[in-house]
Amino acid sequence: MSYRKEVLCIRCPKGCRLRLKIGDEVIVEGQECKLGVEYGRKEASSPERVVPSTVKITGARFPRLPVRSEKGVPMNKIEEIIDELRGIEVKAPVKKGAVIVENVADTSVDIIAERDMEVKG
Amino acid sequence: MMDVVVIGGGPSGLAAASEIALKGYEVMILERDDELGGLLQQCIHDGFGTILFNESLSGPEFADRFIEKVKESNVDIKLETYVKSVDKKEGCFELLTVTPEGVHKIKSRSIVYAIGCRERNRFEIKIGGTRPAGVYTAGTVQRLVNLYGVLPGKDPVIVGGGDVGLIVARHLYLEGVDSLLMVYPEDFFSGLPRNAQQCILDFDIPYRNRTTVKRIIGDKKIEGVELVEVDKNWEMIPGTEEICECDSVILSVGLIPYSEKVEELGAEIDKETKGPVVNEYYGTTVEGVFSVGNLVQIFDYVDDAVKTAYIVADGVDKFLRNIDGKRKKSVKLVPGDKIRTVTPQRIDYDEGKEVTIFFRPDVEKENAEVCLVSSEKVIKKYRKKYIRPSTLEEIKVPKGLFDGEKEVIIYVL
Repeated sequence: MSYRKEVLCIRCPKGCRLRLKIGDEVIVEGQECKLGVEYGRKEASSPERVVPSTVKITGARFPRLPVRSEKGVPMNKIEEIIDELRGIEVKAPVKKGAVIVENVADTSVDIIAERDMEVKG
Repeated sequence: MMDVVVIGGGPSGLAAASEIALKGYEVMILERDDELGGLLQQCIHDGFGTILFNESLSGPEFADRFIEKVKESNVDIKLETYVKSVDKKEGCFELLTVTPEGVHKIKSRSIVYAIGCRERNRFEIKIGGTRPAGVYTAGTVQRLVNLYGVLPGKDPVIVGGGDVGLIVARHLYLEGVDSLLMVYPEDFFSGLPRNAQQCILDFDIPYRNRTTVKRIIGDKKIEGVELVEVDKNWEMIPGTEEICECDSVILSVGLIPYSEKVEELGAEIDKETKGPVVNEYYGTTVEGVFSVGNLVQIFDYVDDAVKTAYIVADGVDKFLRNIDGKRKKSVKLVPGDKIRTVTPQRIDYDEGKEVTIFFRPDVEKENAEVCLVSSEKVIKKYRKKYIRPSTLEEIKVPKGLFDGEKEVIIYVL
């Protein structure tokens, strides 16, 4: 048995309306690029999102360092991840892409720095 | 004397500076902040770069690609430099800049404005009431939350369903406000559908459509707002008023090109885009003055804004080499039925290259036919799978199509 579902692709700002046919395999229609196929399949089985947030940083030009999950994490883990990030504090300098938290909330996904943050008084 | 001064170190300015420098010109980029990157440094969510790089980058990551390029080139980078005024002199422009070291004069043969846009405020959408502390624009909140870790309040009301508001709603929700409400006058969020999905619907954040704020209540600090329902013409419906307690109001009510500076120089401004009128090389109506990115019009994707910077490099090159290939009279591009804006607004050159035209539809439609019409004759048709006002569209016009035309109207059938 298969069933149909419509989802909105969020992989890029275009926002393609995907029609999913979900059975033994997932057939995706309505996408304008291959990111849509990937997204549709994932959305049918276990929806994931990239999580952006910030952590405290000292000695930098701003008191916050922007970070994100290196790739998508299960949607139901988002709030746990944000809670874990609340307790994190790093010191400048930090390099773009540096791992800030390994295996965040047991998702086996790392939290990485989005930018360089040099020392600034 | 510089060949080109680029004003503004955001993504479009950075891309323009490095592309022009690649052609061998002496380029200087001026940025008033103490670092490059512009607005992107506070846009920490992902989704940037899917068109240009086929990757989903965060704002700072996207900006960094262009900052690196500029640093690798021989572009002269001046930070903490505010351009106070620009004067057109004999054969050049004279810029007066203000920096921590003092006031300086810079001479340049041409100028590329990449100074972006600003947010609309409460008075532009006529919200009444008192003027207490606690009223913010969404971009300010984004900056406070993402760079400084400061929340604007514990129970904010967000007015307007635009993109910045949607994204800020998610940040506030995740960073732990007690309660949150979004109201907007449209039937559906005016931001991109993907942002409505991943910022509001994903987290069940409460929202009310066809609703706006009639007045703000509070003496020194906000105590609440009076909400009112609106009809489909956004007229308030009497009797539907309701007081809603809140400690802050966040406005996400649209962006406007920051075009005062180019207007002072004498550039013609488009009433619809609110940015300068540009030709296919992003030259304004003032010779030697160019304009790129969100100053031209509000782009939905930074990827598209940056495309204008790639094109301007050829325009600046033509100007500096004094190549005259201009038509006797430029072809005007005009928004017709069910189209809000069209850029570029004019085709000045005659050399016949493919031209990319951006337009914003005024209608939501599946399988839409977009027509180019001249003297009541359809000269080209395009089919678009799905158009909506929240998404800027792009068409490519093949070379030669505009030959002999005076005015081309673009409309949706």
